[in-house]
Amino acid sequence: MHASPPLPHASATKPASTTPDRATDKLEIPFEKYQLDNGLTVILHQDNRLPLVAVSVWYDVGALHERPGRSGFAHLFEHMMFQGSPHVGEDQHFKILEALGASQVNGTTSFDRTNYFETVPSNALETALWLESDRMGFLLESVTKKSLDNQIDVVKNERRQSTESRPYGLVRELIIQKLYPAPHPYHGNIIGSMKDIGSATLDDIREFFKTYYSPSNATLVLAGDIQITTATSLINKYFGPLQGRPKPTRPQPLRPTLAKAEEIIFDEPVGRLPKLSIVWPGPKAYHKDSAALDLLSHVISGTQSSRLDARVSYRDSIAQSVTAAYFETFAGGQFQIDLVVQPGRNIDEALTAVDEVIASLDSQPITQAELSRAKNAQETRMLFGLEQLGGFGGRTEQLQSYQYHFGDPGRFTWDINRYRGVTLDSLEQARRTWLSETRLIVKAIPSASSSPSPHAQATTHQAAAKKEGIR
Amino acid sequence: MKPTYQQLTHGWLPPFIWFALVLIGNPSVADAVETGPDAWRDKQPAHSAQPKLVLPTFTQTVLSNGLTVLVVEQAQLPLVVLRLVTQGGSALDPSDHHGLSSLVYGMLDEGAGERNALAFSDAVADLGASLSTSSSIDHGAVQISGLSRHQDALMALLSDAVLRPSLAEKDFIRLKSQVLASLEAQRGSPQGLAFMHLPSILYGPSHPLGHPASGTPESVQRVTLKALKAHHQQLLSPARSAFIAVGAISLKEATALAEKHLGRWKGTSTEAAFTLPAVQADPRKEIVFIDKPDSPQTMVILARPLFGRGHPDEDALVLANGVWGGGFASRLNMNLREDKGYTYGAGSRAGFRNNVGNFIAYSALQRVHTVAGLNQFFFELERLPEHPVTTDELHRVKQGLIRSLPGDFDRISNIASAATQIFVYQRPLDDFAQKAVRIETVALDRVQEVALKYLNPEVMKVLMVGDAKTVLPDLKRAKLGSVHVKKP
Repeated sequence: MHASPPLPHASATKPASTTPDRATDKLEIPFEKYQLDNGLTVILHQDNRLPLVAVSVWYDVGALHERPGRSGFAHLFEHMMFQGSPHVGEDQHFKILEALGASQVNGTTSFDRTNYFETVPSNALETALWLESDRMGFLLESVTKKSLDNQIDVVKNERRQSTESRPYGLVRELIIQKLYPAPHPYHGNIIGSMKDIGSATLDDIREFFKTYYSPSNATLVLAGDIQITTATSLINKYFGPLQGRPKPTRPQPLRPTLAKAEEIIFDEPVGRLPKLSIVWPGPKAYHKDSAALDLLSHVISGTQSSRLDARVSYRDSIAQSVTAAYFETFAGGQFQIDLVVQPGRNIDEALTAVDEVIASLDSQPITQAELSRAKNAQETRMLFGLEQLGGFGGRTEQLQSYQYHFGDPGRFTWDINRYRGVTLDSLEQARRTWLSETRLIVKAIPSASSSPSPHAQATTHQAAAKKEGIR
Repeated sequence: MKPTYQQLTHGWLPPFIWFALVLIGNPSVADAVETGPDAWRDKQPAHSAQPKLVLPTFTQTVLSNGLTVLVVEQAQLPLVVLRLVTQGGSALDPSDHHGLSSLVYGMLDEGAGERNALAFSDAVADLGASLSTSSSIDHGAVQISGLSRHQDALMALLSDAVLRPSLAEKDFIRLKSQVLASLEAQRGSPQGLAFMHLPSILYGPSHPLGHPASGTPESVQRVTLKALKAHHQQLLSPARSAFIAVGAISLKEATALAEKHLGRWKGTSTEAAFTLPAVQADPRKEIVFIDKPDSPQTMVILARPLFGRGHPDEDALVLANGVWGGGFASRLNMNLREDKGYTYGAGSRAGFRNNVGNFIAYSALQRVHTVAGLNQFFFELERLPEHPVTTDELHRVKQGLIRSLPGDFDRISNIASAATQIFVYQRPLDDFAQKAVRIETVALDRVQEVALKYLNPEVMKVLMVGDAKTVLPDLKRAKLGSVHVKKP
């Protein structure tokens, strides 16, 4: 590659803080862990400062377990878990929890797992356990065709809202489809296709529940204002009698790869500015290069002076927005740069600029100061992540995630040390291994707003201008 | 990157999670098990006495230059959030320069003190901290968060941004171009389009709140650096500002920091206390429709202006809203989502600011069900007289509001936002505790009376964003009033 012009910040030799941050040395999330006879894993974290308990249940099932023709099913099933279990009754879950003053009542489905959570005043813990145990043990007794049909409509609208009418939502889906070709279970991007969502039957629901919603396939975490002995006896009372079935084995699909570099022009139906996405397939979660790739994304983008921002936002004003991020899941990872192009600027000009910045990592190696900044930011982020008891993040989810990946919730300090251990050499090695020339480029070009045929665009329009050996 | 504009621009959300926001269906089937070994599960557990409401303790002092110092000490993690909040925001935009206040805040971290923009960004990053600026309709803020042991260095950077921004020509040109690009990006999103048009529909175009905080492409284009510098002098003053510190920091430490870094700040603003003119709710004359060609859903918003924070009807209306559209189990969402399946979710909120408030109800409706869905919004409003708020509904919403309060303060950034509200709307330091007590005592007939008074279908403005060519014919046939189609 041709040499890139010097970046404005490359001459700034100001060192990062010389004392390494060690505020987090002694931070671990204390916990007790045990298993019931039916296989339910229980993790308890006591913190009595606020009169609140966060309740989190993870089931070891997500998009990872989907089969062709049923994309989106794990997520649709999650909706059904809120439709009411027999002893609690329909219409009651949210009403009961609201009346108790619960907050953060929700559930989510990811590529790898499904979770359900609520944070309740500590005197309402028993009710939360009653609700969670009832749907874990008895959901099928109250599932109806009518509620399934209703949730199919709701989930289709969720797809319209979050994928089809959000700017670049379909680009996001296209990238997943390219990284994970069918029949890879991630292919449906969790939400699934309209056709598959609409094909779900009550028999699918029954089979899925029996296979994956066994106590042996679930982990219950309580965090907050509990006493261990009381919590343990309540958990025994509500979850102990539930029938255990064998824990299904977790599928082990291959991580994403690209056979060759590929460039796709996408006809963007929603967003009004061109958007460039460059994606490199990455390793599975907690690979030895993961932390380095994560830090590399922060060297490349995230602050005004990071490499890419300094070029495309600060110096050249090409980008309306720019991000670099490393994402990882159980079965794969992706290193991704996204850049929305300013009006009047050209997407190819943006691609050239990104390429020059990437190439500049050879001619102007990453400095210790850049690495320290990325590490300091990561450590602060991890610390802020411990503030909440639970909900969409916080301590319950951190414990759950470590349990999911390692069978050991106590990995917080280990995790921080993973980042601290990254050196300029390991960063460089990870960069050379993963940011290769075999990458996926998507150029989303807004369609003319008067474009007549919406659904021709909504199905991935891949008039692919394929180019090989991009750099 | 500039958090002020990240709201509009930050395109990437983690692709790994789809939120459920799930609700329960209407028909009842739930009596499968009456006897047998599991019959004991039929009964909801009794719960012991409610725990005491634990709320943060807000403490305050005022420096000799008029700067308020508002502190909440939360020492469990070695973290701190420092924020400088000033009343005003885009409500103080000159009428020909909408978006000017937002631009001023956007410029504050584009180089400050001795550092140019890149060096300033590096200085923040060296501490593992993050600094952001933001500007809303009635206040603006600069915030830095990081490790508490860096508090003095964090404060030095914060005060540089507030007191000594560079306001350099080349940074201004770059920021303006980025803001114009972000306005264009915003027009791509149905919600973005809706919120560009909503302020003038709600308050009227000449009211200080009647324009979007980020301005319009035309108004932003007109802004010169000279105008920006002049407005910066007007906008920021110690008497209209509070320094908010939350985290592992005491009132004493925070006051010393404020004295050291902001104590010599002399404002030039001569304006009196910040207030806004009240707005009357007029009967609806038309439906405003913005074309978003081929959109598979139609964004529907019903909205009306309200009284401001502290009005005697506020608590009752918050409760009425909770019953009508405020939560998962509200009437509106149960109808539109769980009964009809027209949408992924529907909701409403009542918000109150300085002398002015608003009620907004919203949903993204499946295109083919747009008119049917719009009719259900009105159905739920119109049936309030015959189907008044029930004791059960009110109990649920009251308890939900009061007892979830401690959970609202589980992050120091949330506490800083609560402190911002206390300062900007001049509330007492124990406002949240007082609110809990007041809400507990609001009577059912008061809630119903206020619901009828304010959730009045006649005054609800209607704004829709969707595919004009398919939705407009249905909408006109429905005869809900004249339709004004506006250019996006």
